[in-house]
Amino acid sequence: MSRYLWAGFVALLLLIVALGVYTTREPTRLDEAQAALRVASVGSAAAIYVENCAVCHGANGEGIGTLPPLDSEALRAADYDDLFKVIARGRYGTAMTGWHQDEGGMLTTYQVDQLVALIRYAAWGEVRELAAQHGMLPAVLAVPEVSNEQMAQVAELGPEGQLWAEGFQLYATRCTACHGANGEGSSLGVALNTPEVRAQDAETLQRTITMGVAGTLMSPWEQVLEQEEIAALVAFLQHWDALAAEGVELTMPTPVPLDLSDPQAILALGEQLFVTTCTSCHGIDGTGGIGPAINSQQFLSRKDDAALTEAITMGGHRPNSVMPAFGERFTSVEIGAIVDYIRSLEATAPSIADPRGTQQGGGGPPWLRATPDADNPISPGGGQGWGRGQGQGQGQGQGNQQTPSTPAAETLSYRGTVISVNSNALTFRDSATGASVEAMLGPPWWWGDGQILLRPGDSIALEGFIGEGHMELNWIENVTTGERIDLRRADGTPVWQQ
Amino acid sequence: MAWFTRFVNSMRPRLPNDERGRMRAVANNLILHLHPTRVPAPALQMRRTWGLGGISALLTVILVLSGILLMFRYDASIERAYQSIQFLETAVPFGSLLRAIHHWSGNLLVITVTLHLVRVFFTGGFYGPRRSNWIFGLALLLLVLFFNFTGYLLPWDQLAFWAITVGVGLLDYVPLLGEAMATFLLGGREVGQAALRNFYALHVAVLPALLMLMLSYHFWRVRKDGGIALPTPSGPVEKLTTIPHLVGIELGVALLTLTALLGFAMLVPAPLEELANPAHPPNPAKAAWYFLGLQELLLHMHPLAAMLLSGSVMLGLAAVPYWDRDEAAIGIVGRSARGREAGLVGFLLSLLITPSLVVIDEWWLDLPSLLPTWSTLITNGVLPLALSLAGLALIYALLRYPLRARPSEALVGLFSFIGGALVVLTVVGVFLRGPDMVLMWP
Repeated sequence: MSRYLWAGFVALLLLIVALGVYTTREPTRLDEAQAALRVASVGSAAAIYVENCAVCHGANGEGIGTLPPLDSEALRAADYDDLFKVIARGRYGTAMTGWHQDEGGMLTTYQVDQLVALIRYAAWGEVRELAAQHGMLPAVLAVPEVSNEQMAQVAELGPEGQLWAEGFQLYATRCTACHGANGEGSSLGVALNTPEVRAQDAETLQRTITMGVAGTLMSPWEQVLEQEEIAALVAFLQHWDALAAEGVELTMPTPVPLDLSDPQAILALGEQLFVTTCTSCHGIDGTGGIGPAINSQQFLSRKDDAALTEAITMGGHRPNSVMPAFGERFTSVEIGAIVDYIRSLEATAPSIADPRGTQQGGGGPPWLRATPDADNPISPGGGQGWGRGQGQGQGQGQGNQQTPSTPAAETLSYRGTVISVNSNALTFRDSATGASVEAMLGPPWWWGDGQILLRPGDSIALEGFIGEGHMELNWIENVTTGERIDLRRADGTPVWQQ
Repeated sequence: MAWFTRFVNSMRPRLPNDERGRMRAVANNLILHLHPTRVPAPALQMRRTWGLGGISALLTVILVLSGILLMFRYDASIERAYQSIQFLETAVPFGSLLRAIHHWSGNLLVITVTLHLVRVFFTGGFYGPRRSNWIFGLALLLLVLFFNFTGYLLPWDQLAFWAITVGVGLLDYVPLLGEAMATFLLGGREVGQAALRNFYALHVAVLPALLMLMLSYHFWRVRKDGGIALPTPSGPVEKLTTIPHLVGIELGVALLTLTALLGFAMLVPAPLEELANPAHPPNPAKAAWYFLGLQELLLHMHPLAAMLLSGSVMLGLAAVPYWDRDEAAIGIVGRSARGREAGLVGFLLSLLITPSLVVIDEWWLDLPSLLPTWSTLITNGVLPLALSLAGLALIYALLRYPLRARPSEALVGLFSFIGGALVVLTVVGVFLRGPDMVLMWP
């Protein structure tokens, strides 16, 4: 027998042993594989749930109003077939519609299976967290936003406008989930923005909202809303056509899945959460307030991400800290995003919190903007004038007893219109040539402080000279308003310098 | 172990003890008839073939058998394909193992048939009457790749969906026919239900039938061409009967392969990612690993140029028997000591030059922005293509003249260079390309 055949038979023996071992492990492996599949399914289902189901059944399956909770032992014990059918085909005579693609819904068989897994196996308290890990944020009930302008607009509609505005606001937060953003109705609730509803008297409407409608999803609202609030709602409902005529409309926010692999998206989320949650104590950009400043190297270099995460999750650990624990309120993804955002501040953070001297901005005072001239360095102590306004002395300064009566450069006069004013830079259109010209106004704290108003479109006249690569102004007059200021003294030094 | 030998002997089919009888047994058996009744003793040496053709044939058989079993559970619809695989993986006893065997055999087959081609090339097994079988073998290699490609889509997971989307996307760059071919393959413009059914039909019906026909022809030609290519003997050659000498080795190697394959399949299950989601492309979206060399090439030149380059390499391989008629040293690896030297030089040069070119093109050289007035078809297409072909010609000339290699020996070097380049490009594509296909250290 050849050695290959020998080796082959030995291998065959090995194979038989290995297959035997594999066979004994196979039932365990199948169980483990199924368990892993359940975990994965519940995770994916949480995202589907938050997007489609949470609006009625609550963010954590606790049920809303008369809508049934899903977090129940009875449902856990229910048959797969029953659960699948209810989700796929809906429940006749209730608000539950068919969600399967075959029933006109948007879910595939696979997704309905995953939802069944969610109902049967999920720890409901963690659904928000699971959904966040699948990029579904924010995992809260989505309601349309009512802007202040809209409120003001409604309030001005009539003597009762204030009441209508209040009702409008209440409608947006309480009723849109079922009755639609603009009262068009949905599979859950009837249309409300109709002449028939407006034709009903206030008492009937008030009673309907207070007591609910038996046999429908309309629950009694008396425990949730005050009678005055319901009255406001009724007033609003009866005058909806007046609002609609003014073009006051609501738009439902669409939940947009977050791309968890995109650092920019995470950072944007972090910034948004920071602005809405953290700035009230830690100040805008984390510059400090009630809470300590966190936008500083002093803070950021000593706290690593783990420490930040812990502080946000568990709250402050110092004895008198008022920092609440956000672990219950935010998902790990959100907390991670906030930490990322705070960390992103480190690149530009000042070494100590809220330092003086960096507020001025704008590149410093004009005299410090001159390009250094290596050939003609200024020797200190050369003369009496060196500390004062010699900066624009065009490199020949040297502290001599010169008399800078006029700027060395040629004086230019312009008439034109303002295009824009950005900090200390004025852009205007020269009426002689039609070209846009830029000039330096000097620090905004000086000229902007009631001295002169420069709005885009104003006609102006000015006189200036070309300084270090840009135009400096001697004076400027706003022809439209008649205001005029001088920016340079006769000796060429800026007026705002002592 | 005498008892073991006795046991094996007792299990052996009763074969005639005399040579004539054994030879007749081979000739009268459908399967064994693939072999001649007697083989020259040198042909039995493992280093002649490394058993690569035989292993490939064995893998084909394993693939057919495991594939048939998989068909019992698989459902070629986009709603149920993924679920049927999940069911197979989590609820069917040995389902996971079965799929792993099929998956890994398919991948291994790509490797073994490629190595088979390399072996045949190095031993000069493509001269004279073997020409047609050489070209047929090339066609079989393409068939195996296409087989793998069609099978890749069937699990309908993210990996499958995006690899096929990217892979078929490559077809669009083939001039004239490309778009029509892509549309035919997918049954539309996108990878969907029609594509899945098409791929399934190709994978389980069309390609197996084609493979069976072509493989039979391939085997038949091997017999007709006188078995494996051997060096011209200096004296009389001893001939041994196929039973037991050849059959014994074959059985041994087959058992070893089977054990290794099953062992691997038991330890490493076939990958299965999340359900295909056309809205969420992974980043990077890569083709199947055996196409990553080509995908890597596409990053460096205009798709048309990459297609032309790989097309001309394939054509060159097909044309080798007509180009190189130096039949002096058939059956010797690398044709001669100098040929082996040329092969080594070519391979090492490739290991040096290809990564350098990849890095240079990635980080320094940007022809389109260097020559902004020229059309990108020229700067990114014609120029890199011309440079690559000129480079290959230069390598050939370098081996031919300074090394004083004969054309056949220089060809061994050129072949090694191209093979090395393919390996390097594939390795870069598989391991060193991160998100947005940016070069990165894994």
